[in-house]
Amino acid sequence: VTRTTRAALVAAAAAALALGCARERPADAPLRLGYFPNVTHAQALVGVDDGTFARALGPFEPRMFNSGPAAMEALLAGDLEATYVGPGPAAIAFLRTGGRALRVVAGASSGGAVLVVRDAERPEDLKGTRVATPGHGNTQDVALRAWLAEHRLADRGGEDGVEVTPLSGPDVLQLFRRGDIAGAWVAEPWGARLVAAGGRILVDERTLWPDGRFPAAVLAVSRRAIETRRADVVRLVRAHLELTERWRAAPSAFAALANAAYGSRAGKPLPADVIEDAFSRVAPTADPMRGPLEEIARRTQGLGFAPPGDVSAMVDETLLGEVARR
Amino acid sequence: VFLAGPLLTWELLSRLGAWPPWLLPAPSAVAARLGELVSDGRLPAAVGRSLGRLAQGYAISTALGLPLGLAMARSALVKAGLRPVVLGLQALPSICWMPLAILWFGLSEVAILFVVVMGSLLAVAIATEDAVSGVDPVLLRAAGTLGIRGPRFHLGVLLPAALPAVLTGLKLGWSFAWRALMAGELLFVAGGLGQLLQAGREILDAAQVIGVMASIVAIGILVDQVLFRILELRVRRRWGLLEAA
Repeated sequence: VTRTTRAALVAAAAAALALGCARERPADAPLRLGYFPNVTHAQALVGVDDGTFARALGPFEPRMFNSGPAAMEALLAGDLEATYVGPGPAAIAFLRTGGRALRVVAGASSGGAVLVVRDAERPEDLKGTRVATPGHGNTQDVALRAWLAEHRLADRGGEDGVEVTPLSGPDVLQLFRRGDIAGAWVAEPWGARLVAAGGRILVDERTLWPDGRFPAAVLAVSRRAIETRRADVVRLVRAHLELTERWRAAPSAFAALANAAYGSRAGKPLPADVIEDAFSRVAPTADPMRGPLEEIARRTQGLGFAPPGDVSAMVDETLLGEVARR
Repeated sequence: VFLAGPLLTWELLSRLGAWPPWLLPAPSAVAARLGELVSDGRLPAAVGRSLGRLAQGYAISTALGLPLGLAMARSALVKAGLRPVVLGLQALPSICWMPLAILWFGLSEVAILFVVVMGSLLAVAIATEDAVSGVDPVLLRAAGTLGIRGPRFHLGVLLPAALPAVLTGLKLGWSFAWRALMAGELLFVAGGLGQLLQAGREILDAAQVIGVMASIVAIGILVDQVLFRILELRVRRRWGLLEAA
């Protein structure tokens, strides 16, 4: 063994150690909960702001993300124990890690995704245009590509296809107003905001699923947290159920709370009619909707966003059961 | 040979499961992913698109930067008026132009070209100015004595004399342009290597991320070490700098 090889080995071992150990975190450290400032994550917006999570969990760290992939990245890196996230990124993260990183423990909301266009009347009218989604491999991105394939439109641009363009919410709004994009497949409240900016709903995703029900957001928890601090996760799920029930019981009051929480993050709350419109397409649910969720997971595989693998272990309903029993 | 050791160790440790493969995949997994990206045409298309943008942006930068640098070096008025602005803006990383570029030009090629040009134009201009200012005054006086003026002076005396140093500036400009382009494509959309890298990130595909990074490095080395090296060697030989060194 030469000196160089030895040095390389030592360096590699140190790197391995750093990668493996830097992420260790004591099991009694505050739970870190991710969410996005979206209507489909309303439980998180309300629960973080009105203290529901704090009462249930004690000290915890809310972390706001702007897209699913970023939240999944944090969860995989060990910087997050649980997060509200769309089913697309959750499925990709599950499959990418061979099921070793996370489980979906509950649903959060159903619906709340629309394709808003400037002036297209039919799917064919979108040929040769650009349509935005919130992010490559995000839930709406997967939905748009599946819908395009169904209508025999390519998703890589060209004359016979649509150029799927990942953009953040504010950029979508700005470029939609400028006419640089023909439409966008987005989650609420962006759908309602685009409609308020003069857009028209071409597809309400609820019309594409049986009974109009499909997961818009789910509660995903890292497997390590489920294993090492199950009691905390159960408390989190219980708080989540309580918030879901409040949303179901008094939707407009809950929408107002969510809008106030949204306003404190985005600068100002949305106009009442926009938030009302946004909430009208979203329904609260704790059901992870195993069937549609697995369908979305298979779509991510079909698009090459996720490696092949079994998706049936993605949902862990035992935590919901535990909460129900107590 | 020098790279083989660490690569082999990396592969070995990955196979032994020293770290989760989704954080740092083995080199063989990266190579496999690169192969896939090449065979489904996405990598070549992205390389083509990025290099096309780079060529355009860089051409504009040089076309504007060389005269700008020359003017700053030769005219006290231009120097007094523009130099502080140029130096000030040069301190601004070009990606900071992105929000404005999107506002002004929308989601278009122009916006990304703008960012690339803003990234390299000023570097080229400043390097050209330094190069021209550094030309041996004896040479300039000789040219003056011989009555060489106007375009003949600028193109026949000044530029050739400054060429070796200008070339360094052009090289600098290229690397600034390349960086600006990658930064822009990471944030921006529609094709290109940066976009492919970001796409890999968004589907949590570390193998794709590393593969695209390796391609970016490869292109950088190719242009820097091969293209510019040949040009530099030629210029230095013609100017007799090689033998002197």
